[in-house]
Amino acid sequence: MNACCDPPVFEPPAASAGSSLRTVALIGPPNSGKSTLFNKLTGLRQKVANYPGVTVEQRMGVMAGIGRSDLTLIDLPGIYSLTPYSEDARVAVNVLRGRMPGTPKPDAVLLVLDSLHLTRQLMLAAPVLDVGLPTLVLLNMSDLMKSRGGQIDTLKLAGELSAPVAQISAVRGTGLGSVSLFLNQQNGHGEKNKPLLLPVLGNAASTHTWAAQVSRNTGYKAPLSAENTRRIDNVLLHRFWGPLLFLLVVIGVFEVVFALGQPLSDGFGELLARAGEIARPLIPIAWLQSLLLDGVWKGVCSVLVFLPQILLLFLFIGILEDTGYLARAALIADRVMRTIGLNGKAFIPLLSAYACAIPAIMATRTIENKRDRLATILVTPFMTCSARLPVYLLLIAAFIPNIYFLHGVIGLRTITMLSLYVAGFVAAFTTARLLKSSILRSSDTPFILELPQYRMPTLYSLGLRLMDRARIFMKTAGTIIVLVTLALWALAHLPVIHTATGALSAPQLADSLIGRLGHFIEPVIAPLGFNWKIGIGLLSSVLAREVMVSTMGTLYGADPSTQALNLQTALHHDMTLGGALALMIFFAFAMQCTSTIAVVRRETNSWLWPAVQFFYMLAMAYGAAFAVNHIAMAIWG
Amino acid sequence: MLSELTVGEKGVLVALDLPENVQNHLMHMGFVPGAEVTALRRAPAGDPTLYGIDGMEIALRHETASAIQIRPIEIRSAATQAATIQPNAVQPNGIRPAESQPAKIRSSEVTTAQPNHESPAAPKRGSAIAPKLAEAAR
Repeated sequence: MNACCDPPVFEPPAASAGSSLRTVALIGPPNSGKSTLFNKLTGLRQKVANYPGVTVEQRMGVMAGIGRSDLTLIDLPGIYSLTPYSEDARVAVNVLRGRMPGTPKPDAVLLVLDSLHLTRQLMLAAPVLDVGLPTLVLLNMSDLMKSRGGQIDTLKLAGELSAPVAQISAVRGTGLGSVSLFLNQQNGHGEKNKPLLLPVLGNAASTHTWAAQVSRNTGYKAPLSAENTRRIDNVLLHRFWGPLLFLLVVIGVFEVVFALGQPLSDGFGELLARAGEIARPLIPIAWLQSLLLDGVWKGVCSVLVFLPQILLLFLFIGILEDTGYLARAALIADRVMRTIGLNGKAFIPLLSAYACAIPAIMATRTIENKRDRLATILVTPFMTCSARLPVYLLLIAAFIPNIYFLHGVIGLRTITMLSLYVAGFVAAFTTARLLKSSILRSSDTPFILELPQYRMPTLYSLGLRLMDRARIFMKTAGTIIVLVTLALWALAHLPVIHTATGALSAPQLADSLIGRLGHFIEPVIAPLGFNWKIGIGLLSSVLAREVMVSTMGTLYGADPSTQALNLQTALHHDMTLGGALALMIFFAFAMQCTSTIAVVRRETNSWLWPAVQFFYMLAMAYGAAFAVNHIAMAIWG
Repeated sequence: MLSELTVGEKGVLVALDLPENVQNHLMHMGFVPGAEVTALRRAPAGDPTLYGIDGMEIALRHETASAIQIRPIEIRSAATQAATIQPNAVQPNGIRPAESQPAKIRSSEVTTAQPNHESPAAPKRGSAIAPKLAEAAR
């Protein structure tokens, strides 16, 4: 990757024999290019998990990118200091000191600093060097440093820090040879660095003075500020053009996600279903066929079907983040988001939730404030996601007359649909305010946002991110969804009955366990205007909202009295207008999505929050549906 | 207050009066006493404001910026008028006014030296004149 033109490593520590080097930690402040370097050093050989007990992401990989597959690289969270005020910093300190359960103690440290802003970035060097592990200081973005006329005497800096220093460019992959060289010279001997005149650790002011002094002593000349960034911001953060372009970006993203993602998802789903049908004759035993195809495969399909849309959304969020626009979007949206007690960083996640709550919840990682992040996660499923649309469309087509007002400008059906979107938004808004003024109050952690310079995103890092997100989604949502589908399948196919010919067979849906459950919960849902069939639909749609439609299809298709009718007419036959409106509002508020529950569990690292969320939303859905049904009954009888 | 800077104006940070974890975070981002801060631009909605410090661009809401005390950048010209200002040019320990009583007195003198919110034009005018004074002093 970088055999030529490696700048030399200065002051390499003497090679020494001893136990072998195994684990290397990568640390650096935010926006230092640490992730890019991590990707370069590990290639595709990385895995992402959560540290036990905290919501900080643990990213590890073998250093295959520089041909050292024997070494594990741990990516530590991007932090400004090791002062354990934030969860991120606590994790970093614990990992560096080998006190993190399940994570090996690092034998060496790679400290990445953005050489364009070295004075401030050096503030992290003091506490990291103080840990005493062999450390290589990497001055990243050396290419930009040179082209913009910055200067630094790396030899002097190595002397000041008593640690080897190398200039690299993670984006271009230059200078990585220095990492290999450094690692080759380490044998896990753990030789403590020469005593260093360090500032009083934990005191930011003295650390800053020390960092300023070091950069002065090493002849550091900061490069000219990025004129391009300022010029682009003159437009993108313009009083008038800024919000307008922001709006255009948002609309553009949604256009593509719906115009391209929806048909892709539909087509993909079709393809998967067909693959199942092709496999059907290959399985000789009937019940096994049903279990594998109607149970397991159907579950797998319901997970996979979301994938195209989710990946598209992640691609856009990735582009926004990698270019640096995401931070600007947060800046523009902050004023609005503040009214609901959240900050600007919550805007893009909440917006993504209009397509799907899963990528939205995963995108909340950009919100550093844990309480704000949790509040955002908790209100996200209220946003009208695309899985609600099939249910809304079915019910609206069945119950809302196709009449127009204002000379055909706006139809009653459109108004109904719009009201459902507004209802979801208002619920999210109210819940956020409620949370932020009670249990998740965080007035002591204000909105502080660093704007990175604009950068060109690389296909490599975008691709890696997509792979990463897809993998997490499949693993988190996939496992639980398959389990839930299996349970639902069993409920729908048991108890086994004897047919007229004497053979064993699955019962009619109405007679199955889930059918009985539907009857059982009927008294509870009757006040909402739902009968037992809707009850079965609600139970099975816990898997995913759109399952409601196919369950209704099956139920009404099996019922002799409604068999000849299409689903809309059949529903109309069986439900009052009040019940239908109540059902719509129920779907607007209830958290009927196993994948979302699984993702919330993963992101909050506990079952408490998804449980709280599920029951809160259920209570709200029940209350609203009850009210809507009774109001409707009072009006229309 | 930092929040009183108009876009394009500079100031020298004197003290932060924020909860400890926020203060620590900000200081590690470069907001240390003695640092030079520039108000770069306001968000389209008028708030937050983007500040330049150590070559970085950091956005702060008005409520945060108003808890950060600054003094005018023109040390020399200001020093001729008010001798109270110069001792706290570098004061590594004067992080919180509560911790260091002298710093508190000095900073309050600095802030009351300027008419506060009543006329926003006043600090602007003062700082426009000050560079000329600084030139004259040279």
